[in-house]
Amino acid sequence: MRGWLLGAPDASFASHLSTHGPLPALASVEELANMLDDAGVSGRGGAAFPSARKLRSLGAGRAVIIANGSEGEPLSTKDAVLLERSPHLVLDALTLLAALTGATTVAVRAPEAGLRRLSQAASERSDVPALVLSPSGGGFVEGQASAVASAVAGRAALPVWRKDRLATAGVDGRPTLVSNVETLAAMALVARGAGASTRLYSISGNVPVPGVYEARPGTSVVELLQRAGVAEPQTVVQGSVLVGGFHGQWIQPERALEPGSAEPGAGVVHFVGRERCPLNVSVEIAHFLAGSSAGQCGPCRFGLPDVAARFEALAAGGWVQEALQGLVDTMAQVAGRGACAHPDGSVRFLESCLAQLAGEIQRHARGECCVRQDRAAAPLSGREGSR
Amino acid sequence: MSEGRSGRGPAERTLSIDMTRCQGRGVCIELLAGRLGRDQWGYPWGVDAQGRGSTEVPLAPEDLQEARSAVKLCPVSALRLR
Repeated sequence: MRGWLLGAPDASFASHLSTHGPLPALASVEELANMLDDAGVSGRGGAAFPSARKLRSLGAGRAVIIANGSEGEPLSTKDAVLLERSPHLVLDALTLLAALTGATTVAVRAPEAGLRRLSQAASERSDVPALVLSPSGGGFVEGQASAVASAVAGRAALPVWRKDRLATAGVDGRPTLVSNVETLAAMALVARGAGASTRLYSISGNVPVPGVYEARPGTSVVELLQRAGVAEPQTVVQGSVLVGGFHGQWIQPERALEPGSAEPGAGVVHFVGRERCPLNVSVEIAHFLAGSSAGQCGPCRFGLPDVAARFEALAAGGWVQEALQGLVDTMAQVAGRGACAHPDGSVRFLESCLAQLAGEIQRHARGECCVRQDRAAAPLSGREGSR
Repeated sequence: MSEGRSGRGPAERTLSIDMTRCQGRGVCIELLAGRLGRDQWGYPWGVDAQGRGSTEVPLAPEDLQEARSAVKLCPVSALRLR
C-alpha cells in the first residue's frame, strides 16, 4: 500500500519500487525540511523532536548521518519489524540525506538481524552510499543519541556529557545527525509527497494478538487495542494502559478513547488487563530502570535503585505518607541530573505511577490489591507478548 | 537544558557539572556553599530551586571568583563555567 511504512508486500527492491515509486531527487536540505514541516514529522525514537528543525540545525562540513535502530526499550519491537519489512525506505532516506548534506559517513546502529537485512537490501541497488554497520547490544540506554554517536565513533556505547550538540560537534567533532529508523522511513515517504505520515506501534501486554501495528495519525489507544484483539472498549477502561514504554506514562482510562492518545513516546502501548496489578508491574519496571543505568552519573547510579526500593516499599503497604514523602524527595534528586535522558524518563514514569495509580497505592496500604492472587509475583510480559 | 536565561543579566554565568566525571569529592560544595549543597549521595547540586533538577547551576556575579577556583581545583575536572 502506497504511503504506508509497512506498505510493500515484501522487502525486495522490486516490491519497494512498485509500491512507493522511485525516490525523487530533491534540490536541497531546505526543500526536504519544508516537506517534513508540512507533513508534521517528528522523531519516532521517543523524543518527538521536529525532524525539520533537527535537519536544519545540522552544521556544515563533513557530516555524519546515523540511522538509529538500537531500540533499547523492551516493550518496543517496531524498529526491528520496520528493518525486516521495509529496509528500502530507510536506505532511501539515508541516500537522500547523504546527497543533500554531502555527508561523508553514513552509519547504521541496530541489532545484527536488522543490519543483515539492510546490507542485503543495499546490495540490490546501486545508489546507496557505503554504510558503516554498527551492531547494537540492546541495552536500555544504548539508544540515546549520544551513546549511538559514541559507538559509531568506535568508543563505548554510553551516553556522553556534551558541551556541544551532536548537530555541530558529534562523531569525531563532525556535524552528526542521529535519527530513528522509523523517522527516516517516514522521511522517504514524505519526500515522495506523502502527507501526514502513519506511525508504527508496538502493542503488548494482555492482548490477544500482540505485535507491531501501523496506524494513521490520530488513532486512539482503544482503536489500537481493538486491532490487537481486545474486544470491548470497556475492557480497556477497566484495565490500565502504559503509553510510551518504560519512560512513558500510565494514562487515565477515559483518555484511551481520545484521538492520538497513543502518540507520546516511541509508539509503545502496553495493556495491563484485570489479570495483573499495574502497581506491581510498575515496581518491576522501576527495578528494571534502576538496573539499566549506565552507572556513569552518581545521582542516576545510586538514585534509581534507591527510588525503586522506596517505590517497592510503598507498594508493599505500610507507612504510606512517610514512604511517599521519601520517594518524592529522592525522585527530585535524580531528575535532570544525568548525561542522558534516562534519569528524567525514569522519574517521569514514576510520577505517572503516583498520579494514575494513587487508588491502587491506597488499596495496597490497606493490604488489598486489584488482583488478589497477583500480590506475590507480577509477570511482566515484554517481548514474548502475552496471554 | 530547558531553563531559560530570561531574567538573568549578561554578567551572570552558569556552573556546569559533568556528572559522568563528578565523584562527589566536594571541593566545589565548600567553595560555593551558598550555591551548592550535597544531595543524599554526596553529589553537588544547587541549593535553590533554580539549580535543582539540573546540572547547570546559575551563579551571581559575586560567586564568580569562587566558581573559577572550583573549576581549577576540582580533582576530576568535572566543572565548567559557561
